[in-house]
Amino acid sequence: MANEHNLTPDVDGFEDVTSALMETVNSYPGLSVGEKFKFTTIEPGAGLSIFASSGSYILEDHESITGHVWQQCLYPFMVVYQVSGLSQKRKMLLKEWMDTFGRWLTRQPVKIGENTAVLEEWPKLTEGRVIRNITRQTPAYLGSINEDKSETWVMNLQIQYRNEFDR
Amino acid sequence: MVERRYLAHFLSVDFNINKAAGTNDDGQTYVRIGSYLEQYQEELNPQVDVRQNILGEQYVVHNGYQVQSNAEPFYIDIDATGRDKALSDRLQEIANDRLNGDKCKTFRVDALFEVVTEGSTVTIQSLWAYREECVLVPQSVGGDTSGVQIPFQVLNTGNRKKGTMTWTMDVGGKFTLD
Repeated sequence: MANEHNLTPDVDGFEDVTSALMETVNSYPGLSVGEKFKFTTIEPGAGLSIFASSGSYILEDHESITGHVWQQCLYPFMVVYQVSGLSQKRKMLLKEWMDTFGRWLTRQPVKIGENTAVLEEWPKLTEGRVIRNITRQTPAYLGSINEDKSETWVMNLQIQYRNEFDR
Repeated sequence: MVERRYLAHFLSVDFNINKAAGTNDDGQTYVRIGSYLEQYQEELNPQVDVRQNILGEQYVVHNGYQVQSNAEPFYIDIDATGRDKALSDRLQEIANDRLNGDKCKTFRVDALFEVVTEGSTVTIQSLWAYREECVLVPQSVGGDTSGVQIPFQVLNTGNRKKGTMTWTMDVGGKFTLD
């Protein structure tokens, strides 16, 4: 699998991180009843979606004198919200909702209604992989206006995780 | 070329060089170090003085070695089943209680292993192994955001002996004097 950085992919890591990420985002307390994030679903009226832009890849690869390997890996992704027919005020609220969600996913405390919500720990991975952090690369912004006048709002984030194993 | 992982470095976590020998080994509890070390070496630091006599001839005075190693980084391990737990505990004790002298004294073993295949049986045997008394000196406590570190120096103090080393993940290292 190629990516724009021309780095080695972490194929198993992609599946592992995707699974943990989807479980976490769908536990966001700011979701309405019945509302769910879909995975890489870009279609008019699709609502919320997580779009993994370039797969998961290895940024750094280290090997110790004992044959223990640890890798710094990156999983860039986008939060995409497909909406249509929104008023100016609703658009502002949508952007605010996405930015609040972004803060929550990066483990900052956020206000949801009367309550303060915090993501207490990074999503759990398996087989020697551990998430080190999730960071926002952009605030929520209008990515595109589609032919049917629906709008695609986007926010870019990335997950840095560590993978360890013995050779 | 020999893969680097076959040269292994062990430290006794007993910190008791007078501990009675076992039936089949020297009785020390050895742990292998280096899980996060991308390089580690015995720095021999040879004490060499090159001089010239009145005849214009060059001669060398070689007084021996001041051997030491630096283990940096060393991430402390507090997981009860972690491979670096025993050494981490001792290093924290030395650093926190500012211990010195014989309380920091232990054995190091450096051994080169080879893979031996006999029929369908594959074993790892030491080609050579040397044990020497040493002093462990923690250098700092803390480090960057990658994890809590206590890097340390290993300073050899002599009494070097040749022997045989065995090592497995579950049993650990066992050293037997020749």
